[in-house]
Amino acid sequence: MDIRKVKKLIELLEASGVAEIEIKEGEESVRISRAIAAAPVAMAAPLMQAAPGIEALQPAPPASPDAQHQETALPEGHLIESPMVGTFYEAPTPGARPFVAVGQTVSAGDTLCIIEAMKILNQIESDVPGTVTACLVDNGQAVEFGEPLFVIAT
Amino acid sequence: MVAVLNAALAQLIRVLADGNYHSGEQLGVELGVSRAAIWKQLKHLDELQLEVQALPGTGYRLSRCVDLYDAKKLAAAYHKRVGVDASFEIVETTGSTNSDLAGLAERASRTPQFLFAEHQHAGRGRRGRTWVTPYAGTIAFSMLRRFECGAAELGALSLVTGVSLVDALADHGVPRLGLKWPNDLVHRNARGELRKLGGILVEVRSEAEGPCAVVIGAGINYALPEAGFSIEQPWIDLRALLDLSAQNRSQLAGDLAAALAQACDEFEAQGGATYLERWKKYDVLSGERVNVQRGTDSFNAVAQGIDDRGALLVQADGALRAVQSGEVSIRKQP
Repeated sequence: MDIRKVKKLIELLEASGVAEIEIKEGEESVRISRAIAAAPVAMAAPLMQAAPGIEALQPAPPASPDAQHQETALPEGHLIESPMVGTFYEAPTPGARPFVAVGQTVSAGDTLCIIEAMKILNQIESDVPGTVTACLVDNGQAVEFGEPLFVIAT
Repeated sequence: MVAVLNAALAQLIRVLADGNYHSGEQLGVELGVSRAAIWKQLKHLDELQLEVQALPGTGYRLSRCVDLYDAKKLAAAYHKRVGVDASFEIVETTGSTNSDLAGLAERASRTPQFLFAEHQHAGRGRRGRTWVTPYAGTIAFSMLRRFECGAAELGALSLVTGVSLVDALADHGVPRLGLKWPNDLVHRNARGELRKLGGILVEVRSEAEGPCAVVIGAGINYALPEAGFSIEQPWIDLRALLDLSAQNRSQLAGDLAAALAQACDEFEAQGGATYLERWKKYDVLSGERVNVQRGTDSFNAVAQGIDDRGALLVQADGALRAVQSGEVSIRKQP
């Protein structure tokens, strides 16, 4: 899992007031937790040395058929998941303005991102109207089937 | 949609298409305008990548003769292969035929809709790369079609479209054709050097479980100008591979469109298995040392053909991996 994603998850956690968040991605999983009363987790320590409150990356148990919908403590809202294995692009062309940004209001049918698979560019649309409260993937990053991409607060 | 040149300019191109010299006076008479007006129109031809040569005392001619689209010939060639008609539109210039048809996605049906353009001023390749489309220098078209399946099941279509076009070009006598995974149309010369002849850009809008509105854009270099554009990789055009005086660009374009439509029908009805089998004989990467770049991840491997879904198989660090997305390039031999 990309270190930047872990960082993003931590930021998300801090902003949300949620105590724990766990993400599974293929064979990897990461769980980040914090005591609500404690100071925010320090980021200085290398992740693999398990900074306080952060468990090291570890192989996840083999995914069960039900494992598609992981228990995550993301912001309240509707989860947009990747419909396929591919590469995530936030903008129509490199350097262009991203389709959406956190905080932006979207209508059902608005394009959120492109997932490229087999050199087919798939426009991923929001199936609900709402506000984008989280973007969970970095531009150019590989994504798996069912991987959460966005949270839309409806 | 910027589809129509002004009438005088379009007519001027039709007169000059023969590649012969025409005097300013003669052009003025044919178009019913003044010589000054002709001169003004001639200056616009640059924007279409039609280079004009002026010979004092003789007149003007295009630096290349152009075989303009003829809607009837194009539709007839399509009908000849498929046995049914489709919806065709031919425009002189537009930004991008893919973008135009993507705007019509809600109207997609199983009967394909085609848009051909003599010239694109914002033709697109993959991920923001431009696709060069000088006026009448390529066969550039897009097709809009609805598929009932979900987007995740369309992957092999990428390869199927490539096979349909190289098969059709081979039928017309184009030699030594190949496909670079998944669907770059290339020519491999006797020394094994690859040059790009054409490309395909597939864009999909879908509901989660289907249906999908699919736009397939194809660009094939027909007879590119000698200069006035840049392409960032080795390329070749059909002029170098075929005797174009014995070809008709409209007929070839109609036949390629028909081959693509047929491939989509077969893909939807039976999956793409027979096409994927034929893909293998065009594979130019098999056995090559390649670099695979996927997002920030990059690794070296040896290409080993494709699997039954069309994913590229590569051998890396003793393991066989299936590549479904990313950029694959051949590594230069040390």
